[in-house]
Amino acid sequence: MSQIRETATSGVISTRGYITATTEHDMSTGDMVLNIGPQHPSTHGVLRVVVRLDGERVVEADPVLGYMHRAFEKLAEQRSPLQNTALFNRLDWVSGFCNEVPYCIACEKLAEIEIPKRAEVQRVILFELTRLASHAMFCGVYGLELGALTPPMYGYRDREYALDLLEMVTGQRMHTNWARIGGVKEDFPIGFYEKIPPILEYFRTRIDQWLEFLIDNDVFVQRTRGIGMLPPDIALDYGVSGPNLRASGVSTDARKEEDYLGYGDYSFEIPVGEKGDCFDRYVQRVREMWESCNIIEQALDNLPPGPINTSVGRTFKVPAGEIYIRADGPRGETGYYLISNGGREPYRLKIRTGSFSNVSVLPYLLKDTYVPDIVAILGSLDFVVGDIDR
Amino acid sequence: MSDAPAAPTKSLLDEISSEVRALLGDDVGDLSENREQLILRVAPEKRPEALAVLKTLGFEFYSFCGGVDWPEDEKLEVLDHVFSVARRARVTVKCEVPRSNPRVPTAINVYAGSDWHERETWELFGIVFVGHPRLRRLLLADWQEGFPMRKDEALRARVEKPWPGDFFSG
Repeated sequence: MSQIRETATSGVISTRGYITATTEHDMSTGDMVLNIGPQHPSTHGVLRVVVRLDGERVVEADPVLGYMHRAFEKLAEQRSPLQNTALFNRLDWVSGFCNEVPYCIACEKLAEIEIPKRAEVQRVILFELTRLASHAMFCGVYGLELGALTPPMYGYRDREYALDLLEMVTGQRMHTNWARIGGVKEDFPIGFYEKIPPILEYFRTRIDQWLEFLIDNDVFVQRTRGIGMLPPDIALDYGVSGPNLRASGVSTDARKEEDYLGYGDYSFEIPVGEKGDCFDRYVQRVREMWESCNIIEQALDNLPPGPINTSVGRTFKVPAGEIYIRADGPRGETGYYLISNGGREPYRLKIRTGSFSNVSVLPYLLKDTYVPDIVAILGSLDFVVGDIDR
Repeated sequence: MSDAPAAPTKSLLDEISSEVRALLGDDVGDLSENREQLILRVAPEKRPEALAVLKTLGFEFYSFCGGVDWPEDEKLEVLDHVFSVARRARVTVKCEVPRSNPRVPTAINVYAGSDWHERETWELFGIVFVGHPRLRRLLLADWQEGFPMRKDEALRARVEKPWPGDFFSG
């Protein structure tokens, strides 16, 4: 363009509070397509969201997946259960143990193996410790999404306390690979039980601090209150599960509804939110950490003596049949639809992960929000891209 | 101390079965009980109707949709899994389509959540969901050909370098 005209933008402030450009000479007033990701710090991996913007308002959002697709369902068909548990740690790497346990339960229920009570309780302890680690990380990182740089330091520090316990048992912080068909790999190490109560006590004090730290923070409240409202009927329709669904006011928890790991023997509450906005989803996870502490305490009190594994051997074959096992993981319903033809490898294993369905509601949530809220909403769903793409 | 009811009782599943039979009538191909869940088999063209009936019966949580390949029988299977929060019961809806022409109507108008699940099943199994407005790639890249989850599609890593295998079989 040889002649650069002077840009005359006369904007009017609309009733909704943002400036609508009316007459521009050099600017298009049409919609703008903005590409967010796949490499974006708030996407916890490589999720790409293509949004169409009208000014600062999101007209349409289209998540683009598949940057981390590793074909776990296909790989699982070639692998024995022991190899598969190692694989499923990598689904949602923030809570690896919570992914391997439901698969073991599915194989055990098909084979009608009764696992020892001690192994069951030990699984519960590790399962809830993983949940604590996962939620602690969320509580910190969500501050980062909103531009506060200090909370992630606290979040990661608290998470390490829970991960230290996991490491003490399994030797691994995240990819534990500890559950076996018929129980767990080994008994807890000496000195482990004494370590848990102080850390639970620490988590309880931290929970109070989380509430003071962010929930009493005016900036935090303004960025999250009323943002990303998810009504319960929409959430159910899209299959949103776990803390995200409960924050919308639906009282559902696989630990109460399904018969697995003896969760029926523990007394704990299912906290539910009221509005289902970003704020509620944050508070939901803080409250669930409290309940996890309760469960671990009860599990420690009721840890029976006895064996920790019914050894099934390496030649174990899963009997023919089909079963769906779902568990309440930190990211929602983790389920395995296992179809076995009597072989060692599953004939077909459909992996239902929480994050996949949780993120599928994004086009609904992001519609008619503003650009700064995109990251606030993305972060509040607490997804892990490995869990979406599998 | 126990305050949680265990898995759904047999009578609950029986009750749901009779309600499904009453509403779907002759469209019910087969209705059986399988390890704490109901399995409802319908003809492929009746998939949206069956899911709509289940939704009116309180199964408002859409869990997943998936496919299964049965090459010996020359068919592909579509699974839909729904859950009822109020009744604490689970139902799997199954329909079979021929492997040569796998077409099944979309359920996107019944459960909005089936959108992505159907796209995934389409690209992994080649099952066409008729009426789906955005049937395009979800997880795979555009240059990839074939339907990787079908049984005749080999896992290429194992073709290149076979697994030694003795450790686990011995």
